[in-house]
Amino acid sequence: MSQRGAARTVREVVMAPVRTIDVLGRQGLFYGRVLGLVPATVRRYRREIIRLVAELGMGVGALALIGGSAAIVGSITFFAGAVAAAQGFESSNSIGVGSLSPLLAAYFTARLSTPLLAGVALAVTIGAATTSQIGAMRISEEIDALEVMSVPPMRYLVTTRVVAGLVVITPLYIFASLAGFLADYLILVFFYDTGAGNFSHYFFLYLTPLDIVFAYVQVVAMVVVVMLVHTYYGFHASGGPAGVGECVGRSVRTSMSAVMLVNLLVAMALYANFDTFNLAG
Amino acid sequence: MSAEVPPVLRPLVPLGGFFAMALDAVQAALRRPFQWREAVSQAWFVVRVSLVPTVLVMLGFMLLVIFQVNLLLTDLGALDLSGGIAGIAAVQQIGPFVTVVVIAGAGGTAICADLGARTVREEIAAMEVLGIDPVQRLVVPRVLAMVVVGQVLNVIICAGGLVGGYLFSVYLQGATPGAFLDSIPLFTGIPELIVSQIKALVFSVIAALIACYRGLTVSGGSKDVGDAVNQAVVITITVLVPVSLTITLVQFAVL
Repeated sequence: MSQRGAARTVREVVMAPVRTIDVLGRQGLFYGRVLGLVPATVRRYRREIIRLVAELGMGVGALALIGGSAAIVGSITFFAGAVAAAQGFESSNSIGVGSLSPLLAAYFTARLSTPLLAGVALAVTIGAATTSQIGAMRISEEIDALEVMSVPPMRYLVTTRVVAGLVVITPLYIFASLAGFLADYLILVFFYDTGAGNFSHYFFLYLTPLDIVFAYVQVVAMVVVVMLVHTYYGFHASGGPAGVGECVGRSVRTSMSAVMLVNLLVAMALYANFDTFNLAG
Repeated sequence: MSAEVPPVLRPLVPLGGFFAMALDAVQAALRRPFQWREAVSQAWFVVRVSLVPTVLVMLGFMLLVIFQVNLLLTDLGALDLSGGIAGIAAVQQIGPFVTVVVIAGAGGTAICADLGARTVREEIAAMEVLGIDPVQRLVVPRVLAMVVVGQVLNVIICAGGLVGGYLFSVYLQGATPGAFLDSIPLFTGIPELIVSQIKALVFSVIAALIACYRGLTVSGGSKDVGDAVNQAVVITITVLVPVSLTITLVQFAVL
């Protein structure tokens, strides 16, 4: 390596943290602007929001063929609930309290497996689809065309999608958590024979309604993060057809890490202050 | 090709194509010369894109689980067992699962985007014209790279999860350090670790094959590459959760 090349490498390494801060600042500005535009967008583009709600819920293209995001999120939380129930039964059975496993299933499915897996599923389904859509618009200069037609692209493309995500999350979450509970029931009653009466007694005794509300708050926080991150990466795509694919990958990486940390922080804030679990009733 | 297939059966075409490519890959893996250079550079590439997300996703998953489990155990008066549960969580469930979510979400998307871009630029077609088999030259080294990286990441995640769980339980939730360490081997031993590594192996083979298949079958322009990457990661995660359940049930039946 020549001396000048070495100097450049050193400069790059030294400047790397500064560049990271730079990118974070740019993302923060973008997110602030998007959220600030929410009231105006809801007034102005109501019909576009309704169209996007249908699109995000059902998915587009090949994904719609297998039932759209709703079916994918539901099936992921279903199998995650099944894993939680199976692990709960086997672990509690090994210390002789297998019949208490519906308690564990209610606790772990409502508090852990549904919100965690729903976060991952949201990032890869509606999130990645959004990046690929907006990224393709950026590459084919459709976003510039919108600006020329004096349609504000931030409002028309980005804020509408964030609002649509917030609308679509409620039915998605209900569907996802019902799928998780159904898996608990099927695994524990039919596979491990804990008995339907035993199951419903312990399951509903320890399924606190507030847990479900808290999980809903977690999921809403995650969907905001997912939509913001994915619209940012799509909106700033560059580099031709290959660039869209790359920016989808980069956005999935960022949003999965961000979603998990947000989930942890929200859960700690909620459960540490209001501990709803009470074994003695 | 698809013109002759009746519309009802059309969704099965990609499925058949996927298994055909998987079989080709198995066959090509046995054929010499093996592309060592490509495999090593791909492994380094996958590590580079997935190391940071691995650590962050692992911390998010693991600390949330530990936090909730410790709330439950405190109420039961059995906080001594928190190490055991941390072992189950880190080694048996979360380790392999996070490995694969990150491998599919970070490595898989990058590989799919790379191969998809080459396909739309007709580089793959050019390779075939030159008589080079893209499966042997591109797919096999990538699958091997993902498998190796998956094994390494799984170890890092299991170890990191236990350390994170220890710090969280002991310093924030008041577990006893000695009791935490003593209770880990109650539920988790060498067989569980081996099952965990096997899970990571199966998961990374599936994730790599799906990413490569979806990347090689892109047609069209920029929107299609993005869609392909999106579909690859959705399909991988949707397939892997049931596979994880199956391995868990088999493990309980056998061990």
